Amino acid sequence: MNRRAGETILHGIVAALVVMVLLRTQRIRSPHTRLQFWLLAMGLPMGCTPLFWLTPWRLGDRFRDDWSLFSASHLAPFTWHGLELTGVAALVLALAGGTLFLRDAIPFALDLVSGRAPHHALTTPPAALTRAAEQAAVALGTAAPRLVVLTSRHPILICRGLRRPFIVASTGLCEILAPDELVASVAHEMAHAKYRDPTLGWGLMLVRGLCFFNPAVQLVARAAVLEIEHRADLSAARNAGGAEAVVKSLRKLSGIDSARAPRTSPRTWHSFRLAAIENRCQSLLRDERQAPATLARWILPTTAIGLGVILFLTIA
Amino acid sequence: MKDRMDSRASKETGRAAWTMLAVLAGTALALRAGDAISGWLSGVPRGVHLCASVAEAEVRTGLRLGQVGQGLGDYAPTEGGVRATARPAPAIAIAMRDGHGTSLLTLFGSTDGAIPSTLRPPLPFFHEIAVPLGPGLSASLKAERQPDGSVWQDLEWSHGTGKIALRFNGRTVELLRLAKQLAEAAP
Repeated sequence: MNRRAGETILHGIVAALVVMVLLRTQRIRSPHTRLQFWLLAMGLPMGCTPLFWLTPWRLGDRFRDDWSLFSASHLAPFTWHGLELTGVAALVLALAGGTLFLRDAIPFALDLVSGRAPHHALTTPPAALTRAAEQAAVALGTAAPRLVVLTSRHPILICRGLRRPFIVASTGLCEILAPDELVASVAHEMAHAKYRDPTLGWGLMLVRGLCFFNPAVQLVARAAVLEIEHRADLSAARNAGGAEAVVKSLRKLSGIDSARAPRTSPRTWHSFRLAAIENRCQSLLRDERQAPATLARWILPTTAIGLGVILFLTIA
Repeated sequence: MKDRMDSRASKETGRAAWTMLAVLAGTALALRAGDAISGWLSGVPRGVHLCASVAEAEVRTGLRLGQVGQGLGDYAPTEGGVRATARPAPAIAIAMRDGHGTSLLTLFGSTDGAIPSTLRPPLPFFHEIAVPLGPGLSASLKAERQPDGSVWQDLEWSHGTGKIALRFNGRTVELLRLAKQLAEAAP
């Protein structure tokens, strides 16, 4: 079992590195395509590695000697305080994976719990919000999802729902955002609904939970989530309001450019989050000016086949 | 205009294909290099397998060592000292130490032909003679110089279609005594 877990970690690391290098060398900028590659990096080890276990001859001496690219059996002689070094390394990586998983799973769970608003907090959508939702729906060419509005001073805007995505917003949102910023931010959430991102997000979290011990899966899933957000940013920028409006709304909602910005030291968790949002803004301003490049359709499946072969020949 | 666009598209496709091939080939090479480096660092080259016990080595190679696998005279197998290979022919190497831990003896056995160099690296020898081990059995005794300058004895003889060898850092008399004991006990 330890060897199998170790092999899953090894395959995850190889797949993640290959995809990372491919994205850079192929200069792939489209967040949709980048997301597909990250999902490949996560899905291929998860899907293929268990299939490899159905071929026991793969672990035999003959296959290792004649065919394998890498065999961790060479590392067997190395020990640390009587323990096999490969086992210790796998344990350290598993702990790192678990930490990375909890770092995101706990806020995810808290967000889920806090998002369940009591009935008395619900109210009818303000006219400005309804207008913004209609404009955004027309711009994106999609039906406007259901709007759930909470009575709250805090600006809340999030897309929820697995089967039928809906948007949760607050009355405080309309007080903070200008009309064009409101359209842009609602368009961002509608893009999430259009691409069924809540379902994808849940799927990613489920996979992360199943592979909690695999740091490569945790990091790749985070990269995939960033691409999901970037895809929604770009969709809103190109169809409704432009990049400037999306960037202004992002900065206002996160509190980056307002007096509400907390006086925190540069190294707090919140400051890292703000830095990530600012990176998103800069990336959006840069990417919105470029025309979307098309990648040949065969690149992704060919990469999947090539990477699958490499993983088959990599044995823990 | 359309021709220029088609030409540019095919150039882009070609570039994408070559880049992808280069990345995948680079990954394969990097893994292979990592395998070679780890083999070099551990001293276990490709094709040689470290065995947890003599019994495991016998299962991997099909060789039967019998009582010899448990030890030879005062010499017992050391932990991590059992190696096996299947190429070019099944062969085993067992590192042994005496009760004082000062002398090191390595036993090699192959089923077919010479003992592979991956198990028994060839060393420069400066003296070789033939010694009798028993009726109709003659062995080749070489004095070899190790990389650290020390002199080891290497005794090798034929056993069926294979070979048996002992590499020893102790006295020649002791080596010949162990070899005779082995020649009588070998299955």
